[in-house]
Amino acid sequence: MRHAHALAMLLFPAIAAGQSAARRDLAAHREHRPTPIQPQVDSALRQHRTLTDTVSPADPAPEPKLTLHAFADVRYSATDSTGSRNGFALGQFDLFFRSQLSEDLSVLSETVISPSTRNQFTIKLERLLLTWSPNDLVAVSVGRFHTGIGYYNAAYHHGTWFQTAVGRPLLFAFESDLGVVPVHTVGLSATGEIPSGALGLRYVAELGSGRAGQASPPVAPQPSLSDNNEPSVNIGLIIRPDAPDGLQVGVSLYRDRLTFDNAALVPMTETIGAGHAVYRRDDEELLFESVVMRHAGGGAPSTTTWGHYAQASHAYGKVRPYLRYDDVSVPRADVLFGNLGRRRGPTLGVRLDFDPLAALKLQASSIESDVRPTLRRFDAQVAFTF
Amino acid sequence: MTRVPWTALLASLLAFGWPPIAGRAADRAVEPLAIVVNRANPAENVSLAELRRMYRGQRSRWAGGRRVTVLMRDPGTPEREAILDALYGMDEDEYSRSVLQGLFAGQTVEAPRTLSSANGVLRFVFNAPGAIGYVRLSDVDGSVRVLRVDGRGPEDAGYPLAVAVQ
Repeated sequence: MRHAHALAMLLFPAIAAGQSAARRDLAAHREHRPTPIQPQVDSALRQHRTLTDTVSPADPAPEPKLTLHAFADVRYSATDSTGSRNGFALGQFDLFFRSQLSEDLSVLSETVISPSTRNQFTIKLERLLLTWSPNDLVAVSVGRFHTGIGYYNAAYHHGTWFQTAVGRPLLFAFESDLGVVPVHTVGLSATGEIPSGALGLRYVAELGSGRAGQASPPVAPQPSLSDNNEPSVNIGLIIRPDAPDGLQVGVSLYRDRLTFDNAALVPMTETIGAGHAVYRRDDEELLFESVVMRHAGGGAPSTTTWGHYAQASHAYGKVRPYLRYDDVSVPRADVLFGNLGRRRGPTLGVRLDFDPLAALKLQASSIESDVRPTLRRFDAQVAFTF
Repeated sequence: MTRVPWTALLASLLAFGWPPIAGRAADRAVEPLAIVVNRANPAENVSLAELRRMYRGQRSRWAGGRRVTVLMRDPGTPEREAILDALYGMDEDEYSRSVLQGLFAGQTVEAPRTLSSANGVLRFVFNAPGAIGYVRLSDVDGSVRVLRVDGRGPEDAGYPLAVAVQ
């Protein structure tokens, strides 16, 4: 009632103004002198919108709001590997928080609860990022984030629902899952546009804590890394041209100094070059990435690790068949990952988006290795978000 | 026995528009979709590529530095489907996933806001200096400014955004 009264009070001048304008128009019409009525109509419309918005929830003013999304998956896996168990398992339960603190400042975090053996769970803060973004030319972030090495690592995080396939490419596997590329880091990141018109250039520059602080506990014979005073550095350049729409091409260069807990091991430098070409448009998805990682110094022979993957998929309505081929080759002499050797093979699968927020993926893969028997594996995964 | 010239017959039928396929582009009446911004926004023209970047969250600021607030219509409306096709190149499900993924990856600052009517879009744009939305040309009134796209106004030939008339 009070609102109605206030609205009437507010509307009255507008109505009165409109009536007054109408009287003027009528008089002008009688005198056969046309008057421009559009400005008055526009003015009345503006008054009307202002008044209606006093009782409307459509307030565009920024306000800190916390947004929460959760991602989870359940899978059934079967392998021909001796000693491994076939059966159902929970995947990662990923809690994603985001809040726009002000027009230029936002924060996001990603906390992952992972199942381990015997009904135990581990909780890990995978990302925590405060971002200051005053314009499109620069966005500075500080916290824990995914390194800008390549495309996949920056585009996909822990929510498997986003990914076409069941898991990540071997090249960008997480540190805890025999990954060779440093996926996470803690530090400072800057990214933004480079004015370049239709070329759509972007840059990435990162200073981080390096591999040591983010690595999983070493598995023998991998030596344990120690922190040092030199930050890791990563710079990247990305092209997203206007045409063809959906194309992205990029390169990046990462450098870090690796030191070891074992004082007998001499520090070494790690250099990682990465390149990618991605096309995602309509129903098509074509991903190709290549990484070369060089470990040098340290009194041991320098080693060069190569890794590639190519992934293609095409959606037919809600069904998307996909094919990926992985190839990651680590020299046996590599101090960190020599025990992994070369792993390569195809992955074939199909994704069914049976709901806008849930997908079923069926996938078969055969990964051959030069240090262990070929691993043939079948996965069925239901991934969803809410 | 006379041979029936099936090929010529079929070509003739096709040339005369048979069978009458529902939704054939040439037969459909369309109405331009106007891109509307706040009257205080000095922009007068936007390229289709820039519009795509704004709608995909890759361009978050106007030239003057004000943050872009992107408006979408409700799912299922013809206007939204036309924009999903022209600016995103996605269907509804892919759009939802890409918006969420942009936020998740930290590459998008704000998800588009969804409004249920053309009047709601006009009202929001009128009140928010950084807002950008779309309405049928017949819904436009003087409370907002209409942007040209690639130098063409909604009534010009070759204007790239249109929606089927219901």
